[in-house]
Formats: sequence, C-alpha cells, structure tokens
Amino acid sequence: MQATRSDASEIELSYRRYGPALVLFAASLAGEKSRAQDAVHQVFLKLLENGTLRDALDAKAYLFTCVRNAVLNDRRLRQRDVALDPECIWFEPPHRDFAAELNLRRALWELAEDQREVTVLHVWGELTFAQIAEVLSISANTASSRYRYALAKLREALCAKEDCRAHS
Amino acid sequence: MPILDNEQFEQYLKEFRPLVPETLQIEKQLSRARRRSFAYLAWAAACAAIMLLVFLVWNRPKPTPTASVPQLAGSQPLTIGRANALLARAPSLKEAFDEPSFQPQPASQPEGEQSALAVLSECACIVQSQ
Repeated sequence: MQATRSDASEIELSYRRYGPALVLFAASLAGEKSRAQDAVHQVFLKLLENGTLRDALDAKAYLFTCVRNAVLNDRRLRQRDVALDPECIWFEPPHRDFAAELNLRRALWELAEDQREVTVLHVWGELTFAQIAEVLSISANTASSRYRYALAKLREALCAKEDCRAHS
Repeated sequence: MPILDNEQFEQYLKEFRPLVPETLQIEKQLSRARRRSFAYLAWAAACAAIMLLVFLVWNRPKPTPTASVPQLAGSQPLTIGRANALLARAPSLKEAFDEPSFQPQPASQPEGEQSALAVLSECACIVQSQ
C-alpha cells in the first residue's frame, strides 16, 4: 500500500520537523553521519512505500524508534563496532565554535550508549521521559536517571576540555 | 566554562543545533506523482473530448430531404445555373432530380432567361431534325 498524497505530505513534514534530531540520534548510535543519514532515509522511504504515520499513537516517538531499529539492524548486519568519525560534524555550533562542537561530540561519544541515547533524545529530540521510555522500552524513571548521570558526565567532560583549552 | 545548573547546562547544549539533513527523495517522488497525475488527467480529458465528439457526431440530426435539397420558389424557373446548383448541393443525384420535378412550373419566364427544359427540348428537336 503506497502512501496517499496527504500521507506523503505529512511524512515530508515530519522529515522536515524531526529530520535533524533523527539524524543526530542515528549518528550518536552509528558514529558515522552518512550511515545515520541512510538509516533515516530508509525509514522515511519505507513509510512512503508502506503507509502512513497516522496509525502511530505518538508519531514522533515512533519515528525515533524506527530510526533506532534501522541503525541497530545495520550494525548487526555489519557485525563490527562503530567508531566516531571525527571529520563529520553533528552540530552547528554557536558562534561557529567548531572546537566546542568537537568537544561536545567527543564527550557524547564517551558516554555509555544507553546514556547517550537518552541525552540526545531528551535534549535535541525534545522527547519527554515517557516518550523516551517508549522508544527504548524502559521505564520513565530509568530514562530520567540515565539522563541525570549522562548530564553530569557531559558537564564534567566539557568543563575539563574547556579548562584544557583555557590553559593551552 | 562557568559552572551551570542542570537547566542552564541543558540550554547551553541546545545552542548546538543538529545539522539539517540532506533532502529526502520525498520531494522528487511527490513531483513525480504530481506529474503522473497530471498526465492521467490530460489523458482523461482527451478521452472525454473524443467520446463527446463521437457522441455528437453519432446523434447529429439527420438531414431531411426537404431541408437539405434547396427548394425552388414557385416563381423561379429551372435554369441551367440553378440545376447545377441543385446538383451541387443535393445529397444525392436522385433527390436533385426528384425535387424540381415535383415543383410547380412557372407560368412564364422572366425576360432574358430561358427554361432549361425549353433549351433541352430545342436541342432535342435540332438533333432529331438532323
């Protein structure tokens, strides 16, 4: 069943609205931006081919779940650990501070994957802990505590790097 | 980096905006779909026009002989010119010949004109005499 025109417009709108956060989320799992982009495109093209987003109770959470599944499937197929691609930026940094962008990316990458997922979903995906719980199949409390730990680690890492930069 | 509380730190993180991804092929697919639907529409319109044309041709009112064959007014004599015109405009030769034969003949010819029958009969007389 192919998506009707209104469905396709809705899917297109969702891509425009959530695309950046979805690609970031996929990159935080896959390490490489090109693979992340492929996963997101794969999800949206499948949505266009097979149906609609209307059936999903929470379209946003559903999209993040689909992208996560696509990345994990891809990773399973490749059967190898992923590494962070330092050349590929994930963010548009404030004041074009690309050193800060690299620091943030590295700090995020150093987090445990479950903490990284929660952080990206909450900060940049703007998902509530209830939505994150749905995406990751965990409880909202677990999501919240993972987030607190992750935030503390991130702050520590970024402060340490900032100090290094200040002293160098 | 100054020490920030959780909320401020979250705000700081949000200042880093995720990059906008490459354009999905959705737009191409949509425009392709639009083009395809336009083509279907054009075909449908063409088919409808053809069907309408066929319907109109099929149901065109059939010309009645009286309407199609030009009538000669009672006062008009059958001249060679008029006979030619009749032949040219009548749907069939038979009708062209039938019509004038049932018309009342004019009592007299206007001056300077001759009846076709008179001319033909004159010709016949000349041929017979020779």
